[in-house]
Order: sequence, then structure tokens, then C-alpha cells
Amino acid sequence: MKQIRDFTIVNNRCETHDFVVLTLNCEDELPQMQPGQFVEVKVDDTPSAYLRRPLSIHDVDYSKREIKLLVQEVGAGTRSICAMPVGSKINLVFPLGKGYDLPDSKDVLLVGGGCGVAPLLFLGRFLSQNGIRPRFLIGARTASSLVRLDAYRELGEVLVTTEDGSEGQKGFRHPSSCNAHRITRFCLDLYLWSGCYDACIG
Amino acid sequence: MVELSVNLGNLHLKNPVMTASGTFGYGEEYADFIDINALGGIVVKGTTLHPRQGNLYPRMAETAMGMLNAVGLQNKGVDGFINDIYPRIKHFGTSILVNVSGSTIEEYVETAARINELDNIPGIELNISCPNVKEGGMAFGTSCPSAIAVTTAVREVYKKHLMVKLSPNVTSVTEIAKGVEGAGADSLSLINTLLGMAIDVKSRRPVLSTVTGGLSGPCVKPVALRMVWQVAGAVNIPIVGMGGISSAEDAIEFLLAGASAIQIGTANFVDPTVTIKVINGIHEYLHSNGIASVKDLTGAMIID
Repeated sequence: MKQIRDFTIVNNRCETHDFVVLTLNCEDELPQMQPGQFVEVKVDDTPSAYLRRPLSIHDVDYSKREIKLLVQEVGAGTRSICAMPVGSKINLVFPLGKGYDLPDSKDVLLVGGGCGVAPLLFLGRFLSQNGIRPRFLIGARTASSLVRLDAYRELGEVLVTTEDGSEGQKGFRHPSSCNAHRITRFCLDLYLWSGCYDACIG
Repeated sequence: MVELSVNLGNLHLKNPVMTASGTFGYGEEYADFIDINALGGIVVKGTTLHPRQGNLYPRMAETAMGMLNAVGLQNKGVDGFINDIYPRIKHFGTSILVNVSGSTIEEYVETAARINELDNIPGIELNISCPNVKEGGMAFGTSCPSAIAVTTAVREVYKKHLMVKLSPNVTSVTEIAKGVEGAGADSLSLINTLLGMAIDVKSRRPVLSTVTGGLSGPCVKPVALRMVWQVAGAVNIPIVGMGGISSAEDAIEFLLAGASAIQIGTANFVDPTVTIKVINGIHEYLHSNGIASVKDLTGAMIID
């Protein structure tokens, strides 16, 4: 069931120059959430950001009543969210969306690039709690933009690609686009064709 | 005890707070957040004779304290509404109005005639003001003769409450309001969105696929309030005010300007519980000011 709730920010950690991980605590018990679902965050005191910002559910700890959000600063709204100090209130509408179709197979590859990696941690945790050890393929423009690798490594093997080859395998470069999204798509196709995995989610 | 119920002619509302078409789906979408039965009324998504896909994406753009939309009346058509949606929502304990739009007068008439047969729909909101369709829509609401023609034609077949939604994109909203009143409207709702646009300076392209779209949200409230006040001075039928209402105070401003009820639109996106907060806030205002009925607020602005 969808809810609207105030959370308290209990941690705000800078991952890179433009990525922040927010840990949010709720006074009430959290509803069940599906990997791939998202929240909508109200942006306070920012007139140019009138509408809520949709953000993937990065991680959930039901026992601590905590949700983590991986936020990339891309404009006025996310800048305001990233700057919220520990102790402040943040209003969420959640959980929204349908979530991923969950695999019941053993060999699963989870693929994400840039801020698109955000929902894969919650997905990986869910799979590992259900006896599936996922493997992650994580892409970024450059090594300094790779985020949260340690958290993914706790759950499974992590393969890395960067567009400039500064870490891991050098990613796909296409004349018309070098963005992380394209790399994700390229890797996804590559691994699906290779036939090594039963399921591939990106 | 204060009285919150209002009558818009033959349409009874348990309180003056309705939801605006296109911002509240068919009501069901908000049932997790609020008690739908607590609302004065719901105006469901704009409905046309035939199904419509709507405009190409992108069809929404954020602006300072508001947003542009160019959805373009995406809907399942009137038969889709009657067969798929109506059975699910007809038992809601609130007044459900259907927003009716069309490209020709014949389409408006046929759609209204089919909705006239639905027992649990006490009224329609005739949309002669949608800025986002190429033909029809706002074209009917921006000229006095065509606004009168479509209202007259629908009035002949539609026997229940006929609310007509007016466009702000006109030189004289009062002329159109008077024309529509004369053509048989039971009430007027205003304002629909203001025609606007936005450009992405990085790509130098319009943000919306349609270039222009309808502006809504708190940024339009002063314009809407002014138009409600002007129309209230020009007609004798009830007015439903809307345009940027996000709080009880906003709603009370519209009542004082001459509205008998109000609709909340864009604010539902930011706070899905806003309607209930506005109902409670109006109640509190009446109670703390010793006003017996919300009807006493309508047109009660004091000008010294």
C-alpha cells in the first residue's frame, strides 16, 4: 500500500563529487517494498523544484526502519536534497512502481551504469536473501564516478567497466554517445548473447 | 457545528472541495492516501467519444512553482469509461463528474448523451478549454459563438448538472461566461490551464513535444482568482474556482472572490493528501471565525 511519510535523515554521506547516499529513518514500521520500486521526495524551500523527485530505493533495512537513497546531483532539486543535513525531515511518497520481475534462476547478472546502479543493491540483497548469489556489472564514465562498489561486493562478485578504461574493462564507445546508459545497454546485450547467465536485469 | 455542504444548483456536494480533471485519475489512484468518500466531488479525467493516445513525450515540464502539461486528453474513450471504469468507481460516496471533451460538436453531444445514462454520475464538466489538442477543445472556449453553440447542443441531450469549464486564454472571460450561462449551463468552473511554453537552452529546443502546453500550479493562482472574481460579478449561476489551490487559505480566497466550490489540481501531485487538509482547514476557519456555513463565504470579500 502506498504511503506518505516523514522520515528523518540519519546519515548523509558523499560518495563522489556528485553522488550522495542518504539514510532515512521512519518512526513507523516500513511497508513491504519490491526491488525496483521508487520513492518520490518532496523538495522543500526550492521554488524552481515544485514537483517531487522520483528516486530509486537503493537499500532497505526493515529492522532499523531505514531506507537508503543514492542521489546524483543533476539540478536544483537534487542539489537541495543532497544538501539536507542529518536530523532534518524529508517527506516521501512510497513505494511506487511495480518493481522488477524477479528471477528464480541461479546465475543472475545485474547490470547498471551511472545512477542507474541505485536499485541494484536492494535487488541484489533481496536475491541473496533468497539463496541467489548475483553478479554485478557496473559501469561509469570514469573510475572516480564508480559508487558503492564495496556495498555490492558484500553481496556478490562485481565486474566494472569505465568508458575511459581508468578502472576495469574499457567500455563501449559509440561515436554518437559515450554515456553510461549506452554502456549498460551494450553490456546487457553482450551478456544476453553470450548465454552464460539464466537471467540478466538492468 | 459548521455546515460544509454546498449546492451548485441541482448538484449537492457534501463539502466545497473537488478534485480537478486530469490530476486525480479516476479517484482510485489516491485511495491509499485518503478517504475518497470524504471529498466534495471528483472530476474524472477528460473523456472523449473515441479513445485517444494523447501527445508524444515529453508532455510535462516543471516551471517555477508550477508545471506545463500537454498530455492531450489521453483516455480510453467514453465506452471504455462506461464499461471498464464506471463499474469500479460508481459506489464512491462522493459526487463524480465526468469531464467531457471533443473535436466536433457532434462528438461532445454523443459523449454527453451516453454519460447521461449513468445513474451515479450527477453531472458533467464540459471541457471547452483544453489547450493541448489540435482541433476542438480550447477552440470552442475561446470564441463566444462556438462556446454558446457547443453548450446549447449538449444542453439539449444532457439532463443533469451541466458545468462548463472556461479557458483563461481569452480577451474577455466574462463575455464567454455570460454566453455559456445563457446557453443553459448550470455552473461554471475556471480556470483551465494558461497557455505557456519552455525552451531547453542547452539543446535550444522546446521542452514539450507540442512546443506549447498548459501552465498550472501556485504560479497561476493570482490570475485565476482575478478571473473568478470578474466572472462572479457577471453571471448568476454558481462558480467552481480553481488554479493553484494548495491550502485552505488559497481555497478560502476563491470562495471570498465568489466561488461556491473549488477544485484542487496540480497540488495533488505534490501532496496526495492535500484535499483532506483543505477540507479540514476550511472547517477550522469557519469554526474559529464563528461562521455558520461555508456558503456564507461565497462572494464575501470586503471592499471598503
